[in-house]
Amino acid sequence: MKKYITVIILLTITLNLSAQELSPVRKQAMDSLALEKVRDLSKYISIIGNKDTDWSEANRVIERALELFMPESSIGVSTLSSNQIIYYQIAKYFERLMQLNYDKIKIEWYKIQYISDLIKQPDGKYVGVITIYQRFEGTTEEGIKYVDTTKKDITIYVERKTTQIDGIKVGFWDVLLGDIKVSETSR
Amino acid sequence: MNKLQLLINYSVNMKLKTIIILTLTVLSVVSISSCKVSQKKLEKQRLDSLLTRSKVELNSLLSDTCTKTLDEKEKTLATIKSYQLRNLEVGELINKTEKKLIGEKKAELEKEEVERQKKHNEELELNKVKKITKTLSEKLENNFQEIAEAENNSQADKLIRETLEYFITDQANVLIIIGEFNGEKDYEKPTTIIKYLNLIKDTRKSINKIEKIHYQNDKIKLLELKRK
Repeated sequence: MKKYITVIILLTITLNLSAQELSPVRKQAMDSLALEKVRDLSKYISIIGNKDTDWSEANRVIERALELFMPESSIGVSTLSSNQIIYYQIAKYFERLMQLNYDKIKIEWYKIQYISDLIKQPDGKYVGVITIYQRFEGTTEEGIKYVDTTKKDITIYVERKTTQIDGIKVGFWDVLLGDIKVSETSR
Repeated sequence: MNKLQLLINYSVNMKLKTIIILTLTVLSVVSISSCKVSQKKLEKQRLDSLLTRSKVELNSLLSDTCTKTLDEKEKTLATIKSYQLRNLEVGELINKTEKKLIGEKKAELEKEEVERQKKHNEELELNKVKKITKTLSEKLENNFQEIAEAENNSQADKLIRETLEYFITDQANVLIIIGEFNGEKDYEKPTTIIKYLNLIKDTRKSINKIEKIHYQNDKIKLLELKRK
């Protein structure tokens, strides 16, 4: 009898958990949305770093880029000349990126993919990790080029929220980026 | 003696028979007459009842609180008229009811005409809005694409300014549907039109199409987009 009760309880728990899980198609839409935000960030970083970008335009883009992050998020910066990784608050990082002492800067992100799937946490938020490769190319006034490639891991937080706009009930996924850690740096 | 006796007997029998026959005849005449009286009485009762019921029904039809439909009222009146009651009061009530029902019929036809006209106008307006929306949707989607493909920032900014002209404010809401699951829509975090147009400019991509336009005074107050 006890066995049956245990089986029923386990079955109920399993059914409740599966009822709360997202369907694969819905989960895929959420995954894609988070990837899209990382792609947006890559465009913003490219614009902020580009020396051809106007100061006001760069500041506008910084504002937009900051909206993508959780408060107090930081980003790791590495160089080929040192093993040290320096972590900056994200706003400070953008400011520094805008002022880098190169005549030309080209930043590209590629191989943007999940290394840790978005998984639901006890607080209801989904957390995952997306990895990217960043190719940085800086050219000085004298024409000297500095190039490095960095592999970075970005923590992603996705939270279900609801709001009301013009009488429309809007259930949305709030995607926010967390810390960006450097995992590899190479030439 | 015997003959006399027989004659007397015969005479008595004949009288008795005659009496019996006469009695029966009188009884049947009385009975028939009584039956006729009873039938007349019943007929009168039936007519009285019809009159009373007809008056009640007609007064009910004339009342403003009558809940019957016009069709039901017309049927009731036709039934009462079919009784062909010869009564002055009922006749007057029938005339009044006929006039009232003609008035009601006219009012109903007028109401139907007004509603038909209203529906027609609504359809015309809806088609007009649909046509404008279709044209505007095409125009906006075209602008989005042109912003994404702009050769430089100033060209993109010019297109953004042009596009903003269609909106009540640059802070007009934009909702982006990323999918619909079991009848429930999933959105991106709500944004504003100025932010959305700048996103297209910055990312050089227009990945959404127009799903619905919400107007306020001929300008867009809310734009619903959906992944292409």
